[in-house]
Amino acid sequence: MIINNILLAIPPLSVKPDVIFTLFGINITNSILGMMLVNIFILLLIFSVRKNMSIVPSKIQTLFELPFVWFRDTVYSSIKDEKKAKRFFPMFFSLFVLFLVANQLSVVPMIMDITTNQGGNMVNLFKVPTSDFSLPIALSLFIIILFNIMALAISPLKHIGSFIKIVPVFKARSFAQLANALLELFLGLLDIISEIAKVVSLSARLFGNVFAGELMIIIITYIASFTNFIVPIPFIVLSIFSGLVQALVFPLLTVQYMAGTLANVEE
Amino acid sequence: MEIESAKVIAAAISIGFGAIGPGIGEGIIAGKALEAMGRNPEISNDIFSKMIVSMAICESTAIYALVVSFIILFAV
Repeated sequence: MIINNILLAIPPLSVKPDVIFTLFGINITNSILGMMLVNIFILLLIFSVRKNMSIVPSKIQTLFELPFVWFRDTVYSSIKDEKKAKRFFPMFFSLFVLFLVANQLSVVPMIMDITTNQGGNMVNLFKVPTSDFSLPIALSLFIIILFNIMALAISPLKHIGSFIKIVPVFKARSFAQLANALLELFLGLLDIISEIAKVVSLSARLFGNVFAGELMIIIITYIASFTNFIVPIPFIVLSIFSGLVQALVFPLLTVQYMAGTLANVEE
Repeated sequence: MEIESAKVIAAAISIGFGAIGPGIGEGIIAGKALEAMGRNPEISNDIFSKMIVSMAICESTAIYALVVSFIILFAV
């Protein structure tokens, strides 16, 4: 809004996605449509690679196997327990593939230029889904709640006990021990806030990086008439790179969080 | 001062000061990781993925500042 006043040529930018149409009372926004596009693209990719799969890999199969093997090795080396790693690997890998494709949606030619008429002003039909705050916060909420439920299912008392450390207060023999136990009780309560902070940091990191990349490209493109063509290229490359890194970092951090949450329970 | 100009200045201060610390921190991480890779090239793959993760954690304060300045500029 303010940037529009400063630089008149820039197309309207908004954090909020635009509503395209309403279906049974649910607002279908352009970020939801972008997500659908990403899903269709991933499904097509999966089927086209699976159809020609063989034990002796073709060139295109090698291209897809290399990042898979690298990511699998990284996840397996950070979980340690082979059986558990095998069980949870598909979830982390699907997050990785989802963000890998979703962050690069703006690089696909033509797609970002499709507009529709919404009450007089032109609105993009598709939006990069991760540059809308809904997708990152939904996924990170889901993940942190899932890990807490898993820990509760394994051992409810131990998991609650890792937040409310009431046991050492009763075990205290001397005054110094009691003071230590009370301090630990307070720090345990602070861990509840740290669970919420995990959700905020995971989602804000992804959203901030992707949205900043888009914003920077648009500002550089429209800042003057001579910067429209060649000047934005390094910034586009930078945005692609940060999208790749964020697609990698999100699943790896969730692996770390899972190990941390389950370590309290499984001692 | 008009409210619009106050918003622009607030966003600039937020991201400007927020980017100092993570810049220094990421430089230290990259330098130490390269040092470790130079000493022991066999484990450079392992170090690289750990470096990326720790850089992302280090970067998060800058991203918070960035999100705050987005909120100031676009949402409020």
